[in-house]
Amino acid sequence: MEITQRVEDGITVVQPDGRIDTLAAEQLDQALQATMAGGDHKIVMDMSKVEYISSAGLRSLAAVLVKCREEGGDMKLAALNERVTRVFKIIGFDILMSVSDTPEAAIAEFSASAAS
Amino acid sequence: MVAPDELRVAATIENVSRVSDFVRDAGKRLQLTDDVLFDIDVAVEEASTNIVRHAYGPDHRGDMQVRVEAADDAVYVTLTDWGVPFDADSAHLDVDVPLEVRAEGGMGVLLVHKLMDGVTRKMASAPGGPNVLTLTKHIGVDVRPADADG
Repeated sequence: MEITQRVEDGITVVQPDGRIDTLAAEQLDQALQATMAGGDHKIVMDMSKVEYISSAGLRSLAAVLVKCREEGGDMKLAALNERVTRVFKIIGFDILMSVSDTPEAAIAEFSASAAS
Repeated sequence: MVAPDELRVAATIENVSRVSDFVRDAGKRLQLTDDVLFDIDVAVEEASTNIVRHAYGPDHRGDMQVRVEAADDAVYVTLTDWGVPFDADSAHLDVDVPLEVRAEGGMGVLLVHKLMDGVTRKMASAPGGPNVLTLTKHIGVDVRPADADG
């Protein structure tokens, strides 16, 4: 799985490309841990290119969310496809995590919460 | 009844993706929709990961076997291992607990049960015997393999 990262308005946007299965989840985990170790705790996960996720990927994302919030940041999700959304809903992550339609909307949410 | 597809491999995390690939290919031959394939894909990954992690664990080696067959309006995926009988259904996930606790386990089992229409588990009656998990997915239409067309 390919993972690209970019910084927009001080927010790290992470875009995994492909299936987040058990092995790919380890790879995602390592990438995100490195990002957080670099001091970035405001993360948008651009899920537009993720066609599949299983519980291993959900566990990685949950761990990142908890760590980001501990450090005063947050992790927000964007652009989940319909099937991936269904998996999030079954586990109840759609309520616990902020989910936006686009990465831009997720970035804007960070700005809005900083302003309030 | 469409002839079943079957694969037997060593139960390792690396082979979980081989099992997934095999099941997806079999599903495509049966012309399953992308939605049905996705549900089966997730359930099979969760179930085969449980076999690697819990039926055998780090200290034991053994095989896992997957079989895909279709009859009438349903697809049946059977996963067999010869490890320690593991009642995965006891790993219940409480979706009302905090995120940190929820992330620890039980998500896979919940996904299997929610995405499949039927989950039956037959434990080995003696050590080394087969533990058989059957996942059933109703697909609403009669199954027809791709190569049966024309």
